[in-house]
Amino acid sequence: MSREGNGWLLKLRGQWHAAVGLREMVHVLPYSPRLHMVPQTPPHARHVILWEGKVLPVVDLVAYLEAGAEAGLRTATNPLSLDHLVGVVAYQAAPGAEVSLAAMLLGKIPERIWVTDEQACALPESPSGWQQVAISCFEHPDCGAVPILDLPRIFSGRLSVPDPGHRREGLENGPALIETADQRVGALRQHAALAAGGI
Amino acid sequence: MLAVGSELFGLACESVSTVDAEHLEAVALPDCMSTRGHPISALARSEDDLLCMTCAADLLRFASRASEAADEYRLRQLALQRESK
Repeated sequence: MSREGNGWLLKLRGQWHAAVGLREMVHVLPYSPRLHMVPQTPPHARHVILWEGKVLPVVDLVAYLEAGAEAGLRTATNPLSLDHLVGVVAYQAAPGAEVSLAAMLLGKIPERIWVTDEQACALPESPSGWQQVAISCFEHPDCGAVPILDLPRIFSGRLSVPDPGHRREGLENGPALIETADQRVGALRQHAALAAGGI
Repeated sequence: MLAVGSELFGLACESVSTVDAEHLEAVALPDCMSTRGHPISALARSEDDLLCMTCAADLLRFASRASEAADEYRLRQLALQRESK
């Protein structure tokens, strides 16, 4: 039987696309929220935002992917325009762990999507950084292959410099994993106050 | 001037002021931002600003490593110049 998952299509800076589960996206800050730079941090995680009384790390996935595609994190730059969007996301670092909040730089407002098992496809070979940050992938009619993000891994500090020859094992079909990711953050319902006013 | 035990070192600053640490809500540096030997252990908000929290010992360790790395770089550059001649 075919399964389907409900999620968000993320349009990142520079025509890159990715997806997260429906309940993994908590809020979008569309008005260029102030980014606070923290020195000596990785090029893809240089900033934090202050949101709802919390300090949230902001990951620039494009900086990570482009660094891996070119010459490794050491050479990565992190150009930010003055009109950036920031999405607040929720994830669980491990099953049973508390829900954590973090943020990602976006290029445009995310779009709701429905994905079925039939759309599952292989991750793009390039840039190799997709292997580190995605758990699965599906074919989108307009955007092509869209990786589904592994938020716990992205925000865990376990990302390594992408290796062109390396593929992570255990990459599975996409839609089911959107569903799984949503179940992981099912506890987010308890954080209704945070989601109030969300998209 | 900062002190780590009996060792003193200077830090160039534009300005220096005191904060009441008891009234700051500090959170650990997020895992995705941490790197080996990172001198900042926590972040705290102060009104609309962000404070990076560290201690003299961590700053000294960081400065020492940075200084060693700079020395190594200079030596490598010198070696390369000699090879090219």
